[in-house]
Amino acid sequence: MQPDDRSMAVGARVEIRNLTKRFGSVVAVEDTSLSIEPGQFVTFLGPSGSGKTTTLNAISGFTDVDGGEILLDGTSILSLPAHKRNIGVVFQHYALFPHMTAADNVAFPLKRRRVPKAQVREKVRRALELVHLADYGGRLPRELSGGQQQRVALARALVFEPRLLLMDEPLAALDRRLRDAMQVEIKRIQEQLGITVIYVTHDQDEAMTMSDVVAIFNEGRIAQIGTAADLYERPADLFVARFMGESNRLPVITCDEGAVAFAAGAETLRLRARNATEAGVRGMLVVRPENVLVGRERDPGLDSSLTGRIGRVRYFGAYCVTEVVLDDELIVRSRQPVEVALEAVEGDRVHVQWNSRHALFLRSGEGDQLSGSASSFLDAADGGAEAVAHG
Amino acid sequence: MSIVQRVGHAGAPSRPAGPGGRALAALFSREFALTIPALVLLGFAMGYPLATIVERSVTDFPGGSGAFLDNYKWFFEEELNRVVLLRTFRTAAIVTLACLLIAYPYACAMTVVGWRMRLVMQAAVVAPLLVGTMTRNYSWVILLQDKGPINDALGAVGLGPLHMIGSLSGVIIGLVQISLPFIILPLYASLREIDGRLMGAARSLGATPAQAFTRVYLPLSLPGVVAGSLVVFVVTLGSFITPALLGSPQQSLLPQLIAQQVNQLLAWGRGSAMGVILLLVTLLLIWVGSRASRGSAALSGGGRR
Repeated sequence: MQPDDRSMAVGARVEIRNLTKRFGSVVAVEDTSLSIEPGQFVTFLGPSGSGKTTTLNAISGFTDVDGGEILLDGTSILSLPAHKRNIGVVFQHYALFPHMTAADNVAFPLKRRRVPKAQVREKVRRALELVHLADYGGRLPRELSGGQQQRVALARALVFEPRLLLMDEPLAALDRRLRDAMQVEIKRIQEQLGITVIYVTHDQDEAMTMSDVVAIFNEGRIAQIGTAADLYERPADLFVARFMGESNRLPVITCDEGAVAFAAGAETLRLRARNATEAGVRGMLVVRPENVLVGRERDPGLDSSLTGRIGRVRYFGAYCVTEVVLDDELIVRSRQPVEVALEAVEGDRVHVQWNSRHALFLRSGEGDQLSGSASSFLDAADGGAEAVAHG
Repeated sequence: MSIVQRVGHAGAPSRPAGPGGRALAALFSREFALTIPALVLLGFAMGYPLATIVERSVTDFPGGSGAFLDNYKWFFEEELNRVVLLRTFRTAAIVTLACLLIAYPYACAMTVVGWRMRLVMQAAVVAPLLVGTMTRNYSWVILLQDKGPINDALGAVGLGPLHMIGSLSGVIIGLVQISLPFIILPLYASLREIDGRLMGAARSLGATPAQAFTRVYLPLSLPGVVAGSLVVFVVTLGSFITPALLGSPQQSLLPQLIAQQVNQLLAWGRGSAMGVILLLVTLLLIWVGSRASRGSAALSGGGRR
């Protein structure tokens, strides 16, 4: 656990190839492949039922798989039972043994591995020190707070020096403040030990702040994998855009490379957008609220603009969220620092504007249902697009 | 049944153990008032006869006169008494062990099956209690006869015949069946509280399935094991009808011996002394058992969240 034996606990390389798992007729994980470098902190992010926990359980050995392969440092682990995989697991519900003290809990994996007694004592002491609970070894789990219990669970999962640590929503049961502190703590320990971590969460803030790589799961597949910045700034599809942070989404249709048509009331506007290639593709123009400015005057520095009236303004201290209602009841949100945000009264007519390099076109997937109004609205834009394209 | 209730309470975070003033206040609290009808009934139906028995055991002697503890002295001096006392405890221990071996897997299964199956299993446990004691015992008389259905079945597969009726083995078979509900129900209540996910955690930490059971599941189930075993043990110690109907006078148990002293020899004092001895030993066992299970119940209490 100390820097001197760090070389022993260096992270494992994990490769998942075409993993498939069905529960009856429900496909939980479908043909998922993923490669994780040694020492990486990878987060599986996604809504519940998206397959992230099933994938984790397949790695830990709690569920068997219907197809595919899982390799740890190039060796398949699928034929190994859970207790021979030597992978640390931390659970959302801590899963500490209630009849054992914290120290006995931490000693449990060492005893199963027949580590000599004197070494057990030493390793337990060091593991508890690592999670700052050196003086709590004699306590029973029920005598510890939730955060302390989770730290004991972490020590227990690390004490046998696994090269891969799996964490299944480990902080979900803790309150916000404690969660933030634990995020820092987990990250520090991972960096100190250099082990590979796979972390499952549905909290995107947690995913963004802790991970080297985030894999977004949707309906049993990885929708996108990349750094937090990749996913936030260059989402691969609408699901990722919607899941990572807030976004304004305007139904549009592409008219040519780099431009889309948007039906604003009776007229059709041509807006510039990244990622728009061929003409006639339906989708959404995605703009993050922090890139949207609201002003009474047209800002010459921003090349995209729509008009509407001020709706609700919400004050968050550090920033304001201003809603602008477009002519067709679509709402565009702008999030700006309080001193930048326009002081406006509900109903004022304003310009919502952004720089087109912050505007991304994403095509509608099969799963993306458009509401009736958005659909008829697109049809209006459809005609307009022709006009714009040929006009 | 009181043991079951006490074990149930042991899991509660705090026990009202305080200075005498607080105990006195609790005595007159409203909650206490609710127990008065039961206490009155117990006082008349149990307390008074019990006091009479204790009194008789030290005042009523076969010859008409004797010293204070003469009846007790007689009990331990007579070899037959000691043999029967030992046999009674040995039988109770065998019955308890057999019940435990049947009840543990059954109660385990109850925690993992679906609710429909669980209902069926629960009904199967409780149903025999709805049949009268005499009916059940006479049913066993029929079943266990030398030419009864069980021996017929054994004969059909080339075994037996076994002599069961009128022997200790017949008594044990009967007592096991009659006592099963008293161990399955508390055991199930205890196993139900064990977080099944702990076994997964144990596996992930390197425990084989067998180790996960012996190191985690088994220790956490001990409160239920102790509570259930204690009930069966105590019920068996005091059982009279089953040994009388299924056993033989040559292998009688203590309750039969007591009945003999009282009914046939009219030695009320000696019978009372034997009753008191049985009661004291039983109380001692309950005390030891509930202490043991309170300790482990307190430990497993942390698992419930």
